[in-house]
Amino acid sequence: MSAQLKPQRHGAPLVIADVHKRFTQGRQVSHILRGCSLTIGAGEIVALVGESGSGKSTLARTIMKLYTPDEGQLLFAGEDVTHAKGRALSAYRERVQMVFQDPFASLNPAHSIRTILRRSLPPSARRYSERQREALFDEVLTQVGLAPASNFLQQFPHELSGGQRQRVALARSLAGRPDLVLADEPVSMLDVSLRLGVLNLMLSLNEQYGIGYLYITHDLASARYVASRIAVMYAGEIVEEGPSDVIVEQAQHPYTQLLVQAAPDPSRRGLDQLDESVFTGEPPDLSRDIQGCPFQFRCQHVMDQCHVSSPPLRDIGGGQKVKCFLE
Amino acid sequence: MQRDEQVTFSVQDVSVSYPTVRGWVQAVRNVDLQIRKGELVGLAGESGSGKSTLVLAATRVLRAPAVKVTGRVEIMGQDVFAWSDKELRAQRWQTFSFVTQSAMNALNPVMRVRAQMHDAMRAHDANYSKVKGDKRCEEVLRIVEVPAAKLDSYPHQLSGGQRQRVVIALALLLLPQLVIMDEPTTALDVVAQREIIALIRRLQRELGFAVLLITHDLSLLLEVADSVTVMYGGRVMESGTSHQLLQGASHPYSRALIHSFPPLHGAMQRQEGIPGTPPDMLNPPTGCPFAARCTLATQECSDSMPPLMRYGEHQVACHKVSAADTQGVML
Repeated sequence: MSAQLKPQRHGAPLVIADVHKRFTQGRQVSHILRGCSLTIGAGEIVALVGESGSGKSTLARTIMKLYTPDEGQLLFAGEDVTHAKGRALSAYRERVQMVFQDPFASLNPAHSIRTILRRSLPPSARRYSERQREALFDEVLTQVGLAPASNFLQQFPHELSGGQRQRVALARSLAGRPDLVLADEPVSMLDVSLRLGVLNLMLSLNEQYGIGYLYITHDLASARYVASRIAVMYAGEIVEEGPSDVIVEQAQHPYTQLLVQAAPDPSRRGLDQLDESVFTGEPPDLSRDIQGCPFQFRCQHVMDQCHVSSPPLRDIGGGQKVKCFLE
Repeated sequence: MQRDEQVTFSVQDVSVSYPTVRGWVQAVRNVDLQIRKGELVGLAGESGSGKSTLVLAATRVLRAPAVKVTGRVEIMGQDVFAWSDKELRAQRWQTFSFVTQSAMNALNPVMRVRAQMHDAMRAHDANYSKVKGDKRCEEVLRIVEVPAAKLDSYPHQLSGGQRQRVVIALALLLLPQLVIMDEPTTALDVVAQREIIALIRRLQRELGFAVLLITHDLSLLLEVADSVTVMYGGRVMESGTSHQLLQGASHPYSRALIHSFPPLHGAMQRQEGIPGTPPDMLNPPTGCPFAARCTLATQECSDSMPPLMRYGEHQVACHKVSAADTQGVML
């Protein structure tokens, strides 16, 4: 008699507390995460939004413990996993899974879908019998809308469309019954007509099984679509967070306002209405020390104190937090 | 035939096929497209819709025997397929130029920006001289707002946005009347994308060239383009001004595509994507390529391809759309 299949879990909270990450290249030290704090509640969908190079993916990889934070803490389900090793680490990684951006690169082209799923089974599934494994594969493929599973198990990634591949990647993350899935731009490589399908799938998995997500993207509209809360990242810091609608409609941080203005919006016809001068400047060089607020170089409202010290993340009520001196 | 002086680029009944081991693939079928002086025309479609193939074949980047092209293409009133190789070389960059897909990697990584610009001018400008070329390099870099000092940088020393600007500057070196941009902003994040699009619009106003912007991002096109052509399965499904498409896209595919983008503002509701997957172009459906995914499809749709009907400036290829539907009335 082998072990029973694990029951579904129902999410667990992740607390990221003041996490720093530096990378060294020769004598150059790049300070990529500069004190990130973010909480993802049990079964909550939080979107992490920011431009390329803001540190979104580094944060996700740090949460996955592919990188160890230099400072700060990761608390998962109340336990400190910052320096988890060995068994504790694999138990953690079973409950926190990751889905990558490019489903054409993240699935081994030489393996069948069955092998891909089998390879990704967590340690706790080692005791499963062959039949139980097949039942689990069947279950996770059905969960992601690839039914009947038996058709897909023997196929190879090249036989599937981009949307189907990303579903396989999601199915793979579900095999360990995760509490939280880190989805790093899961739809940006997919055809437009297939994106909503994958986003809707994430939403229904959240509703049915309480799986939480950290949805990483630079598309504010899709962030608002899937997430209840949006955190905006700039130069390795969370500069604003709050309920999705509040972030889009009443952004307080100048950078968030810039992102909202930059998002394509067909209802705003004609670029001529847009002030081109708003979109100037580039993110700061993170290999140098930044005195003051990292956004000061692009900010329209920059004040004297912005050059001197970095503003704290203030709670301005309604669940909204802003890292800016502007009142 | 009398020529409309205002037409910069005209594609008439162009079809393109690729030979493969499993037979000919009809990647583009009977496509018409027209761009007037100074316009920004969008060509929208998903991967495999034939949008890149169309422009690459129409500008003779793709040649026989790699492809078979039929139809007629005119740039500034001249028959593109009648040009000799030498003439084609003279027209490139002078009359029309490209900003290629994955422009992030379009620059040679082991050549300084200045040398790459000189290369292009030496090959395509009959009056090229080193001194004049240097002056022109500085000019184009100034108009795309990249510091002239970057001329002596290598591509890896530039940020993504700067690299994209340099590629646009390259395309503008010899002041062409038409610039074809294939997914120029896809690799960039939203802020950089917005900067580039605003830049293109400003340069168009100042220099008066026409732009064909190829992208899958219909929401961006509807916002910035003058008119939009939507392709699917190698065919034109619908074309019209952005305003017409935004107010009342008639083709079920264009409407589904518009609804595939969650709105940034306003009430949020669950939206459905488009079920199914794009057609296999090796075995293209005999009827409408979208029939298999269309909610309105009937037997007629899978039997025969609907012709592209013209209703004023608005054109739609769908059995299920009548004249009344194109007057801004949603189905």
